[in-house]
Amino acid sequence: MLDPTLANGVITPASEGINWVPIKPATNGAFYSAIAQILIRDNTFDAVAMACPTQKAAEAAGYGGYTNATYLVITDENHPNYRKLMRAADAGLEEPPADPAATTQPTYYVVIDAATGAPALHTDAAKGDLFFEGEVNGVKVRTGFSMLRDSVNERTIDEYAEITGIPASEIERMGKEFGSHGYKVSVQAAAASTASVVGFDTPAGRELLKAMMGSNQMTGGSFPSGQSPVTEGKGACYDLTTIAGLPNVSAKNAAMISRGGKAWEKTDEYKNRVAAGEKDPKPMLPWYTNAPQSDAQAIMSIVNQYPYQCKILMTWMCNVIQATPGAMRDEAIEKLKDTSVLPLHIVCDIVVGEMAQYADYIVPDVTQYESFGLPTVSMIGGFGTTIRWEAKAPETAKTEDGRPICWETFLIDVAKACELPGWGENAIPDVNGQMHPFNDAYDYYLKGVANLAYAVEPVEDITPEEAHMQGLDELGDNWKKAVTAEEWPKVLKVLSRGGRYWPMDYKRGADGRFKGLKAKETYVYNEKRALMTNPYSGKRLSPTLNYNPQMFADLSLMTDHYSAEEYPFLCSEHKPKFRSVTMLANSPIMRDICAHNYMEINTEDAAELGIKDGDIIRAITPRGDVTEGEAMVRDGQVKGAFSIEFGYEHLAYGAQDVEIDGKLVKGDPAIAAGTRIHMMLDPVVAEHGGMGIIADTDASSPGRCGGMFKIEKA
Amino acid sequence: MSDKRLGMLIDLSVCIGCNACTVACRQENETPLTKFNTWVESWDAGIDGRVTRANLPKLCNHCANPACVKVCPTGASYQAEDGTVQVDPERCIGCKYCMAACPYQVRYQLESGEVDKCTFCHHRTTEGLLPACVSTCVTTSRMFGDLNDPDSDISKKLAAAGDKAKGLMEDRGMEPRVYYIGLDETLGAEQLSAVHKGGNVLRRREEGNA
Repeated sequence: MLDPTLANGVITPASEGINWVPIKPATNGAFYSAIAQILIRDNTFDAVAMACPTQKAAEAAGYGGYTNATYLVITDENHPNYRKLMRAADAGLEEPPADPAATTQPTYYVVIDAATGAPALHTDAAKGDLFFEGEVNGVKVRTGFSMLRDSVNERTIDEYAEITGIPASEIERMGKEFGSHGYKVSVQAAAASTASVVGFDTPAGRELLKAMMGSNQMTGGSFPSGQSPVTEGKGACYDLTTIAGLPNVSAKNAAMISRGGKAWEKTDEYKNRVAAGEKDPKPMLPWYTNAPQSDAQAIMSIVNQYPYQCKILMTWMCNVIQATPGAMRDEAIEKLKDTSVLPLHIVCDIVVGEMAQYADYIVPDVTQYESFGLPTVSMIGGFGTTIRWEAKAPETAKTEDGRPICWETFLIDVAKACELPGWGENAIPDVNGQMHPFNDAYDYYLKGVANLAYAVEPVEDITPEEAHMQGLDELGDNWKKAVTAEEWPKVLKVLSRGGRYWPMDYKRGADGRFKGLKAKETYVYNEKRALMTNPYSGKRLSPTLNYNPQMFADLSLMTDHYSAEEYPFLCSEHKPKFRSVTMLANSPIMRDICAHNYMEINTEDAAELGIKDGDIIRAITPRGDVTEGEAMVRDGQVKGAFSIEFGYEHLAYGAQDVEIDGKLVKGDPAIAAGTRIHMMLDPVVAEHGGMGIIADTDASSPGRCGGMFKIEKA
Repeated sequence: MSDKRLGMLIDLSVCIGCNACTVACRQENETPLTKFNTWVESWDAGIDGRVTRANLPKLCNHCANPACVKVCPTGASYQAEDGTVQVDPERCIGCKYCMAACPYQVRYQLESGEVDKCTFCHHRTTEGLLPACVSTCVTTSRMFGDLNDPDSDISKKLAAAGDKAKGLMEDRGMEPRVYYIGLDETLGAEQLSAVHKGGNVLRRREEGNA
């Protein structure tokens, strides 16, 4: 287990066969590059799996996924398609006739067929040449794999060891181990470990290593998890996803407020400013060509009123301002409170946290015991879905027609008042095309339960005895009316079991692969990234895996702005045991078990700084942000970085005094106890007039781990 | 005495120190704030050059030869038929002799004066349920049952563990009936951080981990 901090998990003195390997935050790209380098150097990667250019070829060769490692890349800088994967037309190859029935036509890439040594469409070759460099049709090309070999060899193992803090001998050991089990290996990495300004390197490296050993969708390898029959989509009984008359809004005709999914030069603002005569205009906040939606970037857009003003903000059970490192600061909070910046802010939650504190309206929600949900948990290996259902009557106030006030009730009534499609009468189609109403939460969720009950093979009806034993025979007409009389006893059967799961073997095919095998491509060469240009500098990032030091929004190195000698420390956050991201500080039990968190610092670092366990210390960014807390001096923390559990140091959430109708209500300072990372803002964004968090320049997610700090005794 | 002898086995190799047991116990037994019938002590532990995290759940050991029962002047502390050590609050005079006698420090005084501690969830086990801490344990690190029944899960696991299963401070001769797998490794490791009780500092690093 590689982690900056020995946090939670089964690495105990008594457990065998698992070790903690400390790694510095924001250096995962270096680690993955090192392992890839070793696999290539020692020729222990699976060259057959890597060379299969299509899913069909991969499956024929006994694998579950393919890569674009053998696809040719145009490397001629003067070619109009420079940095793109070569297409059939670039190579002078003829494409098969288009399928007139298909809505989209496939793209035909070019490989050197390993069998003939000649250029071929990727769909025509069973295996491509991994290493080709040369000319095709007069165009200079090379394979993505040959570029990968270069990019992971940009540094030596010793240099990767220096960067990651992992001894070279340990990297070598891991590289050998990883390459010695065939496809029966995997890599897990997500969440906090990806959250840095170079966070994209983590999923990129993880996926590469899995593909290099041919482990995707293989039993004993990287076997897919988190599958379920369709419940909230087009299911066995009802279609909960199709909405007649849905407005056509997408990234194609609109801009996400979080500035993702769109290149800066494709925005209306860019075009308008160029048309107005501006040369090479720059945005106030960065745009992210390939990023998905981001709540953290959305909140920064809102406080900056850029790229457009957010006139109505609705949030449900989240506390974006606290969960976004660097965002919870006075200047951002003042903007959230200012109705000229954010005219209407509605929060629906079960507690009044920092987000709700600054909202105009708070709609009470119901707890997990009073609400419905059909979560498919990706970490659970089986096939199926858990059902959360109203185990007790909600305790919130009721509407005039008797429905509990909660998120669903609020959405339904507002949507109906606004005459939005998909709500009210004739909203939900069944498989026979008949329409059903959507007037309360039961109408929706119980139809999802019916979909689960009838999936694959319908469950048996619940027996009257069992329904009675569990009190399910007491459920009222408001429940029953959501499904048919025939479906009801099967819905109850699923409710009585809390969900429906199939045995693990259901997912295993007889051939040692995932039974639900779907096309699984791994990008060795990431064309989308190859073509992405930075909105401030025009610079580009490597399309194959490499190590990127931490950068600001224009891809300039952090260390070019600030002295690494003066600010040598990185930071990381990890999951708290006794808080959640933003909640549980209101629980006296949780506060009793853990009053506050700590600034966890390595024993040798602490000794050098003269810090003792229990001292109050400060971590200060080059921009003056101060994180202060009690030091926990430990060997279970990587050298060169401090770490904290998130979820502490509330500003509101009951910690503060509030005046309600002229009456002072005293806060409980214990709720505010502990510390959170006060991350610096991006100085490059500041130069362009914006207040922006440091962020992953690919995914736009916050730079949660990493940064630059000096540490001193308070 | 009945034939039953209830005991607990905690496999330290899979205890992740999540403290779900601590919370479940608090909710089940409604112990007052700052008082715990069970808790988990955690610290960084060095073993063979590796850094690991030790997690050591603690609770009343329901000893077969309990010092607390011996010193109780009123008979408030007693051994029940199932072998567990219980406190009768009606007879407890709050003299705290038992607290002084217990080397495991698992007893505390309530504001009302009586001494209290873990009952092995007597009110649950007499109804055929597991203690709250056992039924909530996410890694089944905690196991509970009849030590006198060779076919019980706990007896089988104890038998398989052989001399790897040990109680705390066995040299005191109190014959604790909470057993741990991996106790020697856990207590023998080098202490490399403060010891936390839950998330609060119990002992600073220089104070040791015992």
